[in-house]
Amino acid sequence: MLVEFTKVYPVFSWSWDIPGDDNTEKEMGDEDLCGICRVNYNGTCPSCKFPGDDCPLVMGECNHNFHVHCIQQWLDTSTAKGLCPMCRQPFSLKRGVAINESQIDKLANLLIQSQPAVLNDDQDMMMEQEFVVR
Amino acid sequence: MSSRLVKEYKLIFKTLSQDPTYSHILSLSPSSDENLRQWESVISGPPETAYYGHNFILLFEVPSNYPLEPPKVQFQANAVPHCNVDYDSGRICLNILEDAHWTPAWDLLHCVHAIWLLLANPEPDSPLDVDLACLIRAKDFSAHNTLVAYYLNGGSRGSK
Repeated sequence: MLVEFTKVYPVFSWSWDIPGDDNTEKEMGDEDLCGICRVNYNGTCPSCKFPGDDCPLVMGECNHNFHVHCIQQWLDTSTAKGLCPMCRQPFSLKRGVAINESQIDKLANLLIQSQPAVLNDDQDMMMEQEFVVR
Repeated sequence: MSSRLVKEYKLIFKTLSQDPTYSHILSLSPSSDENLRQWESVISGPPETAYYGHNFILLFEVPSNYPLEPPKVQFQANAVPHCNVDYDSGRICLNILEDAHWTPAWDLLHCVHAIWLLLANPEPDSPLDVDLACLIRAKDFSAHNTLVAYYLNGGSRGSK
């Protein structure tokens, strides 16, 4: 039998490369939602239309993840005092995490204003932000 | 961020109908179909308190930048005798509802639950009703409960 392909529809899916995502057991009801807007990590923050590079996800030192736009807005408020909304530890981006690389400088600047103590000085990492196709 | 309110609405609906932990929350929903920024909740008085057997209405005003800012919430005016509630206005003194203590990790359901817990656990050190707070500080709980019951059953608070 001869099979002839006339058309091919490639379908791709992607998700943010979150370290430790595979082995951590999730509690009941603890979905992959941004703690601020309650939208899925792979979705967009409420101000964006398209998920992905335009609305990146970031991971805190405390292992709490947020859309960068959401956490920026929160840290920008005077009441945030530079703290993570989930655990109230000083919020800073986790080092050595691919999704964080392009955001580290931007968020560090914001944190300088709200909480000088959190500033890290090794800002030499400027890699292309990437997300992984699975 | 009103999309978050829509998500909360769906989750609240599901939680209240399925989770017995929240059976003291009789309702929590927007006051009308048109305005998602005004919510109303009815909670039942906690068991083993002077509030048991009575229901209480909470009124929410959700700011436009919620959840970055906390919702404004108060009891219906002239309905709740409690040392952390201003009886005449219904204003509630609870730290998680203040800007300085709020975090976006909390939601409307948390707020209602926290207020319900406050009913059972008055905090006399930050009172809005000094008389009731004094009775608690003096550990005269029977006088406190009698006074609360008196107001709840329509007793007069005297003229101001």
